[in-house]
Amino acid sequence: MTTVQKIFSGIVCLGVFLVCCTNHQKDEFSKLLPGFVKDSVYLNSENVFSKEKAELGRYLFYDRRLSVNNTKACASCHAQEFAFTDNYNRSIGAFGDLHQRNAKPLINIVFEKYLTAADSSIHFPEEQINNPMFNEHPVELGVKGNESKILERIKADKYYQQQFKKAFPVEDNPVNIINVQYSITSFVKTIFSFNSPYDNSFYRNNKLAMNEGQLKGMKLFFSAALNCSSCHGGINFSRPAVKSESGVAEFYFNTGLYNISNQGDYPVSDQGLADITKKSADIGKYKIPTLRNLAFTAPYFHDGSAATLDEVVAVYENGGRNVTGGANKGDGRNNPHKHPLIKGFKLNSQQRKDLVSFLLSLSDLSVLRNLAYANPFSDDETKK
Amino acid sequence: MPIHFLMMKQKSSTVFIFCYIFLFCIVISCNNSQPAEKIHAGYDADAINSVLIAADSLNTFTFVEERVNEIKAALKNPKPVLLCKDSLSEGQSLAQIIALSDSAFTQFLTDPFSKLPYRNEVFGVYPARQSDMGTVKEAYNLASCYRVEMYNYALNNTSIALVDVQQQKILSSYYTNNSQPDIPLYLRSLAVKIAIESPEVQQALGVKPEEKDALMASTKTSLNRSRCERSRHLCVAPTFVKGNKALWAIVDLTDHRIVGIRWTDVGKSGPAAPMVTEKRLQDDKITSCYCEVEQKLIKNGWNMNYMLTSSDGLRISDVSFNSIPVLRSAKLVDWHVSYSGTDGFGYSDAVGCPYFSQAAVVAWEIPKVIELKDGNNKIIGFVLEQTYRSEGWPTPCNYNYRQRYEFYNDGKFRVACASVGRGCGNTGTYRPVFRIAFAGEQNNFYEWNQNNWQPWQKEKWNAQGSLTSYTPEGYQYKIGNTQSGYFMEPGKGQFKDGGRGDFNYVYVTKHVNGRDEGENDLVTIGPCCNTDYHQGPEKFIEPQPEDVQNSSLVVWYVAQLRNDDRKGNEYCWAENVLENGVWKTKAYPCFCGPMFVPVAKAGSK
Repeated sequence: MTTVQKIFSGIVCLGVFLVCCTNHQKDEFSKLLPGFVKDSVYLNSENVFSKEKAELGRYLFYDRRLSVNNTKACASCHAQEFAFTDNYNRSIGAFGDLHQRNAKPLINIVFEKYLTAADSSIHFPEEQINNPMFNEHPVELGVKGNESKILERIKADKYYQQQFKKAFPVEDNPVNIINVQYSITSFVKTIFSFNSPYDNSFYRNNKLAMNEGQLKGMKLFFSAALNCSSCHGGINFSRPAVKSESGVAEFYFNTGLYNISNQGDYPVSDQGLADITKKSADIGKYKIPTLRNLAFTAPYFHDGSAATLDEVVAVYENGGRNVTGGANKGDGRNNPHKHPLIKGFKLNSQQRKDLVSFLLSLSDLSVLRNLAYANPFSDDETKK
Repeated sequence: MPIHFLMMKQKSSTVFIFCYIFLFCIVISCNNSQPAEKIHAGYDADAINSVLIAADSLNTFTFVEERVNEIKAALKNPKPVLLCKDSLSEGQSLAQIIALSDSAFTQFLTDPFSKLPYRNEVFGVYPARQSDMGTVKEAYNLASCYRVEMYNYALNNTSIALVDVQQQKILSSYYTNNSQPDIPLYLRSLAVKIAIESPEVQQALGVKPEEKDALMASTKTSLNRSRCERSRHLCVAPTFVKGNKALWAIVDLTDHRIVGIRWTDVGKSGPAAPMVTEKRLQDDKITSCYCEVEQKLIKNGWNMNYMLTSSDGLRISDVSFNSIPVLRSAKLVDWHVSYSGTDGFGYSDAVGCPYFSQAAVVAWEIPKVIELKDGNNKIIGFVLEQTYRSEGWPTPCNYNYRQRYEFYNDGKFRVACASVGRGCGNTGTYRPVFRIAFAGEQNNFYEWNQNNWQPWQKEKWNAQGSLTSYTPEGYQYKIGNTQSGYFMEPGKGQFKDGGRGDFNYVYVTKHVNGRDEGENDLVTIGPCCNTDYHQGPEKFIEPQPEDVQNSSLVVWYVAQLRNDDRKGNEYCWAENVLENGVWKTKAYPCFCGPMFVPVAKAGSK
């Protein structure tokens, strides 16, 4: 065989290899998806999915040893019992510092093009996970500067020694930060929620899955008058079908929650997309959140400032929120950056109740009970 | 098969270094992978134990060794019980001995199968008060009666005996599952020692704290994923404030070790407040007049008794309006204060009398009777109010509660309470537990269901939520019989007292004469930090709910109040602010509790 032939053969084999592995990842992950899902899936090719990684990731997700002082795990702010949120207005870090935002539910995240409330540069969980691990303002898990110490804890555990080898078989020293991240994100990508009454009705054609009030609420939700679905679309009710005047798809919206001093301002601690882009027009813009599992994920909005769905619906009904006192006083309805779609609508009390009923029908109790997502640690946390 | 668009980040790499064999192996390895299968728990118990606290904390301290030796010695006794170590009077000592001679009181001393001893410990022997004697049928002299509380560490239950030392006999004894009595002073001291000696606490604080720095060390707590979870072990949390943070040292008094530390943010609103220097809590007048003696209150057609209990707050009893019985009793059983929905730590707090309780928050002044006026300054009723305070309030990790009974001239009444902060963190959720026992033996309980009243057949619970339906007047429940009754209107932010809604759990249980389901003074009945309906009253319902039709009924009401320290939104909060050159306390109470409206008066269905 000549040198040219050898090189050519090598290229062919490489092609076969890449196709095989790509298809393998696709196939292995696709098998986890319900058949009716037709939405786009966003996967990072650098982290090829495997069930070994996902299983390892489940342990790491629940392990407090990943925080600087052993007090917090990913699950501390993303708990299964609250559909992978934490039931608090704003989450709290390893040293008791409050995060500026409400914890988002980690379900169906592979269908999300953008993963954080206001950082348009993050598309994959492998990128997003840097925030909770390495943030310093506030400290969340507090990994930054403590990487070695934390990895030593992991390496010392016999279970992890075995599991890292299984999950990363070709690596000599598989226990490293990148692999910790790849494992956790592999697990998180497997958290699906598609068993709500709505799913059972709409996708599985179970006519009894939703009651009369929920069906009436659904009509309202999708009606032209309310137009909720133009922002809350797609499989997760989080994908907007809205374009800017220049024809660009919009993903971040100012919904008129604040208008401090009637100057268009949001609380200084959190200006939304503007914190990244530094554009004043982006003040108060946040990603459209999923409407799935609202029954378990109160409080609502990016800062947890609405305790109930009634409060949330009232904001949209009024075309924004009028904060009548305190440091955030101002009429959000008149916020100059508010999106024109947030213009308010009229509901009577029964319609309001029906709409809330529909929103709650997007809640999937099974995600709270699925053992595949459950905390694997069942024993005393201090036991050696 | 659906079409999936895989949006792949392109990876640039140089691949020519691969050899054929290596490639082949990789390809085969990729294809040999098992197809995706259901990811299941598959927990290998030996594989991993969550080691979240350094091994140092398992060091045995000398004082722990001493304690363990005491336990071992006690378990060798024919009556394997650790006796109360707090200094006891002659009467108290005698009461303890009499109680331990009672077969019912001592029914849980050994495991029925192995005959091995359980660890039991008498936590307290207290002078009995009227509020303890609800189920006692025999004649007694209250002055010679004592209440003996014993905790079983293995079964996590509390046995209580009411003893008359003059007659040298037991008047009543009963036990409560999954409950823990007030801890004695020496256990508090032990917990504090464990905390301040632990390397984790010293490392976290940067210094070794002193015993006096430990706050809330008597108050029971829990911690998820430890044996303290759902209060299965007896755990307390000495808490140390450092700047705007509070460090919780969660100490397991069953195993004598620290099981976790947690930080909370105690809020930045207001300056680091100086300690208030007001009178000590133990006020003789409160004790002698309101803890030991039932007071009579007759006003505006209302007639009732009231007294301060040791740990169930201000109890009213035999309440009637215009001579018609309304309530058998009402009281505030517990305050469950949670600081994390996921980690499950906080306090099982109680309010009560200064002298008879280790409760962290005790009566601060005597009960007050205040006129209730409407917007036009017209007197429409009166309020019976009791305040409870930690001495250091409003500094962090100190508490202030208010309990309030409102009685209106038209027969309405409200059972209410408030937290006035400040607590140990700005992520607190307060869950006060009310017990409201209605007069009458033939009551029924109804729930409004869109357009009619649905009777409850069995004991059960229900939660107030977004889809809860109310009558046009705002009533959620109705309790009563064919002649009379009351509508129950939960807090939805309508009472103009700053309350923002109760988000309540309501439980209905059946009262049977002679059977104690909370009629007497209750020990802590629920863990601090459950986020669901497991707040304590459910133990009187499950596992076999009783029929509640035409019965004597008890309504348990648990409100859920989340604190807030954000400027302009303060709720369940307090702070010291500098005003005109001096420190002033600003309080933001979060009131909650249901209003009861007479059916006839309301004129509704």
